[in-house]
Amino acid sequence: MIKTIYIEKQIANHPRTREILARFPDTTQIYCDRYGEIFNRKAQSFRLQKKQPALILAKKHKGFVLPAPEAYGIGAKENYYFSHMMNCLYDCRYCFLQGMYRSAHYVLFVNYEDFANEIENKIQKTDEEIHFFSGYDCDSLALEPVTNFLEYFLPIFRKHHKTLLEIRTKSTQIRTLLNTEPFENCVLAWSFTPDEIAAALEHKTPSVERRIEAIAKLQEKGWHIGLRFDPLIYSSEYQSQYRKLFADTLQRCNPELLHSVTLGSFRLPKGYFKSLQKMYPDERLFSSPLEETNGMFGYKAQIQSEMLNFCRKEILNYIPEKIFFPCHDIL
Amino acid sequence: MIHIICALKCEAKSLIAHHRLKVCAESASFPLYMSQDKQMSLTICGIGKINAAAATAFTHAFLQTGKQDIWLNIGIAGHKNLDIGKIIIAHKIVEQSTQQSWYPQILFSPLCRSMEVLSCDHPATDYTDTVFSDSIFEMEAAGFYATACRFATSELIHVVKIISDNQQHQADKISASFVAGLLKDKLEIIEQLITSLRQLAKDLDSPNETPDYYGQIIEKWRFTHTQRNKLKSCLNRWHVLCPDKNPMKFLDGCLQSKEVINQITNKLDMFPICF
Repeated sequence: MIKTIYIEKQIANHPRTREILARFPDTTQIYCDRYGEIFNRKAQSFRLQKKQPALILAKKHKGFVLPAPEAYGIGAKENYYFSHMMNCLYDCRYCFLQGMYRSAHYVLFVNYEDFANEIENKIQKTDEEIHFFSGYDCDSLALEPVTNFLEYFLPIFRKHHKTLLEIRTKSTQIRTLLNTEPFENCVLAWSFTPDEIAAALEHKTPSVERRIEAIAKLQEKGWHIGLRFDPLIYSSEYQSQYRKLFADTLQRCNPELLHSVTLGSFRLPKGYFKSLQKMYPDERLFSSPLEETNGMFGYKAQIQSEMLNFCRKEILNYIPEKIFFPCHDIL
Repeated sequence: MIHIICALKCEAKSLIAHHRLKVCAESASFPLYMSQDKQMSLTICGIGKINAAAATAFTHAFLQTGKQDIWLNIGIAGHKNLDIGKIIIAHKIVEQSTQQSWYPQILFSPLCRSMEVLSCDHPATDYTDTVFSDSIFEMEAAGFYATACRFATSELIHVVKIISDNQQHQADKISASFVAGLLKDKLEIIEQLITSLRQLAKDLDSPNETPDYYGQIIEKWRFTHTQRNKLKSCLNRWHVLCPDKNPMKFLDGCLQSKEVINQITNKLDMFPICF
C-alpha cells in the first residue's frame, strides 16, 4: 500500500496527477522540485525501501522512446521501448532494476502525451514494421489501477497497424483488457519461471497458476499472447522444473492466439550484479555457478548452453519454430 | 548502534536518564554519552547547523560508526500554530539559506505526524513570516542530516522535533526545565521510533567481511590482496550453499593459494543449487 507520494511541483496540476492524488487522500503528499532529489540520492537502501515504496509523480523531459536492447526483438528490424514508470511492484531477485536504481520508489511519469507524440513521430518516420515494448523498466500492468496506462496507450497503437505493441508483465491486473476489444497488433507477454523458482525468487508476484489463468481469460477474449521464459534460472532440477512449466503454459495456450515465445538466459552487467550480491549476500541465485564475460555476469558457458538447448528442444515440442525467438546467440 | 544528536543538554536530559547513558571521558570535542552496552551514543552539539554537522562527523570518527547504524537528531522547534508539545518527524528538510532539500525516508508507521522542517541560520522570532509557510523551524536538522547521510543509509537517519514555541507561546518564554519536560513527555514515542528503526536496520544484511574459515586459511597459505578478496567471496558463497560443510577438508593437497581458490571454486560449482 502506498503511504507516501512525492509530487514534482511542475506537474502538480496535471490532470493525471490530480486524479491519482484524489485516489489516495490518506497518503502523505510531499512536494519536490525534481524527482531525482529523492530517487537519485546516494546513501539509499533499495532493499529497505522495497518494504514500503513511495510513489513519485514526475515529468519526463527526454528519452521518451528508446532503441530496444539488441536481441530483444520478436521479428522486426526496428525495436523501441518506452517506460512510463521506473521500478516495479514486484520484488524479483534477479531483476536488473535493483542494481540499476538507487531507490525502490515507483516513479510514474504523468506526461503520457509526450510519450505518445514521440511514438507517433517514430511511426511516421518509417515504412518498416516497427515494434514497441513496454515493461522494460517496470511491470506494465502491475500498477494499472493507479496509472491507467492501458486506457491511454492502447488506442494509440490500435490505429497503427504496421506497429506492434508488446506489453510485458507478470501481473494479473487484466480487468481493463477484458473490457477492451482486442486488436491484432498488440501482444500481452507474460514472463515465467517454474513454480519453485518463482516462489524462491519472484517475491510479491502472482503465482504461475494465476498468470496462466489470466492468459486463458484473455485468449478467450481474443487477445494475442506472448510467453517469455526469461530469465532462465539454473537449478539442479531445472530439466524437470522447466519441462513442467512448458507443459503447463504451452499446452494450455490456444496456439492460434499465441503470438511468440522467447527464451533468455540470466545475465546482468557486472556493476549491477555486484550491487545485488552486496544487497542480498545470502541469496542462493548469486552463489550459483556464474562467470563474468565481457562485463556481463551469467551462468558458466556450459550450463547456459545446456539449459538453452534443453529448453529450446522442449519448447519446440509444442510450437512451430517461426514463433520461437531465443534471445541468445548460443543457439 | 544508535547515535543521537541533541543541540542542548536540556533536550538530552531525559534520554540520558532513560537509557542510563554515561559521559564518555575520552571525548574532548563534544560532550558524548554512551550506554553501558555501547549500543547507543548521544552527542550534545550546541546550537546551529554547523555545530550539528561537526558533532555528527565527530561522533562518526570517534566511534567508527557503521553503514547500518541509526542516526537521530532530537530537539525542539517552533511553528506558527501547532500545539506546544506536539512531536513531529521530518519528511522533508529544507536549508533556509540555500533552499537545498533532503527527504528522510520513513519506512515504518511512526506514532507522530510527519512534516517539513525548515533549518534556519538564526533564531526565528516572527511566527507569521510567510517564509515559514507551514513548516516547523529549527536550526540543526540540515547540518545533521546532510552529514549523517555520508555515514549511513538515509532510511535510518531521522529528525524528530517537539514543538516548544508558537505565536501564543513564544521562544523567549522557554526555559531549560520546560524543554526537558517536553522531551520527557514524548519519550514513549521516541522509544517506539527507535524500536521501529532497530527492526529496519536488522534487514540490512551485508557481506561478511571475515567469513568462516577465512582466518584459518590465510594463516596456512600466503594470499595477495586480490586473492584475499576472491577467497572472501568464495567463502561467502560457501556459507550460502553448504554452511554445514568444512572447506578445510578439501584443501589438504593444496600447496599454493591459487590452488586453494580453485579447489573451493570447483567444489562450489558441484554443489546442487536447489530452489
